[in-house]
Amino acid sequence: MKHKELIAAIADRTNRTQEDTGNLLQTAIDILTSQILEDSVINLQGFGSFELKRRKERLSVHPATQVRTVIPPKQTVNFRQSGVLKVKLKEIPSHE
Amino acid sequence: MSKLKINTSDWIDLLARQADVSKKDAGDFIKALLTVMEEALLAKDSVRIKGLGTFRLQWNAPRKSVDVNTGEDIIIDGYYRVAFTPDAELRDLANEPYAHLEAVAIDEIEEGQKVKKEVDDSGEIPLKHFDEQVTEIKDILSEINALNHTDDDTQQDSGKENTEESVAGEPAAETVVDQVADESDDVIEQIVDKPADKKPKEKRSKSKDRKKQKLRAESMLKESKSKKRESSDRKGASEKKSSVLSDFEEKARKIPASKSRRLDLIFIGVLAGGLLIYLAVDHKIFTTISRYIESYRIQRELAPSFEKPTTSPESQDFDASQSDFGPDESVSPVEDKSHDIGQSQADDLEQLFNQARSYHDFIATEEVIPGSRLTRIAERHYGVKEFWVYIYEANRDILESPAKIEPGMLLKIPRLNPVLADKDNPRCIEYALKLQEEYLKD
Repeated sequence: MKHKELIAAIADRTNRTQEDTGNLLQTAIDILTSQILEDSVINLQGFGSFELKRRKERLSVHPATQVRTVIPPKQTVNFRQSGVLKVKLKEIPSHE
Repeated sequence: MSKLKINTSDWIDLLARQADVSKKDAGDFIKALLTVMEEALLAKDSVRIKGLGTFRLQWNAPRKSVDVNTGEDIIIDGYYRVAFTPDAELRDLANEPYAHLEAVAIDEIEEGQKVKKEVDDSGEIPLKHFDEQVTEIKDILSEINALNHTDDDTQQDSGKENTEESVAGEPAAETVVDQVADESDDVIEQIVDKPADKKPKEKRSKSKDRKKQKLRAESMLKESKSKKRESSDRKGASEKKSSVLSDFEEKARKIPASKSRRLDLIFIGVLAGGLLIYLAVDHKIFTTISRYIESYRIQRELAPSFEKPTTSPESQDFDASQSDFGPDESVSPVEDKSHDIGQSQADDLEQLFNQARSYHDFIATEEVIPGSRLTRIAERHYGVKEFWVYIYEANRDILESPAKIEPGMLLKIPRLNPVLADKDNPRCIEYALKLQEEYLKD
């Protein structure tokens, strides 16, 4: 589902115009990202939580040249699905 | 350190304030957003939100595990899980505090030293290698002889005869190394030819493998030796030698011995045939041969210092003599025809090896990627990694030494003469290995 399809689907449900929904979604996402970047945990009930996580620095060895490289630490946005969503996902028929 | 927690209602509040809508509308909106996303995900669809990232389902395959309490094997069912990948924009923003850090290769310097060391190790004089190999083989052989002493007396006898014969054939200027090598050559062939239905001893088979590898190197030595032999006793002993050999052949035919012995005799016959060819040719074009041998010897002596095979006047002469050589040899009365053909082919190769190579015709140009080696490139283009020497030769203008291959270099891959780069011909590989030794020494 692309961004526009998402907007269309939400607009359908909330009886708003697509433009309106688009703007609202933009604001909502801006708030979400800014909160994430301020290092707070955003917990969306029934869906999951967003959090900044720090990945430690590590040593990698190039398999062909055997050159060892220090990969610096980095921070990423981590999403963790909620238990409720997990249970719902379990009901999906298994992988083909 | 506890992080500030924000839940859905906080988000709704913030949205209502910033977008200037009622709390109820904002709440409806967020709920709609979450339900739509959830529905899409449950329908195995992925959801992409600009400025945030992509949510999609990831299948975790079923796996085996052990029940912690009972110790029984259990299977954990496969399941889907929502995976989130942040957009590049968000990812970069999140990583801002560490953005200035870069991956550092910590042992580039050590790597360079290692390569140098390897080059130093392999940069020995080839003759010294042979000496070592000869002594090593001799050790192994004595072991094997001790093992087999009881069950192949007959073989040992024939081996002895063989050595006696060869010693008789070369009366004077034979060095110790040559004798040892000669002996070991004979016995090696015996062992290799020995049928497998005999008691397989682990030790023997192991050494057999090792010897097969060495045989390649040995054959080179053998060749040079036989030529030397020829030159040393060309005048006097040739008659005597041929008579000895024919005697021997007769003897060989008379003995209706076991299978293993027959194999030995075949080998001896082949050896004798080869010598006969040499002798026959020797009689006919004595002068050209002697010149050929001279040039060959000179090349041998120069071998450790040579950079690249060049066409010297000697080899020019030798080319001319070769063309005489061909037809004469084919007319010469020799019983073993296949052997004859093999010989002339080998000589053609020798000729080819001694020619200066120049590269004009290229198959491809390849940019060196990190971690690439000349050997890898050679294997990809020619199927044999030993032929990297030719790529190196064609790229001498940019490559200082074989180890100094760097990412980004544009290497020209030459089209090789199919006879020169015949991956099924051990002599071609042998020659490439010889070149390799030369180049690694520099």
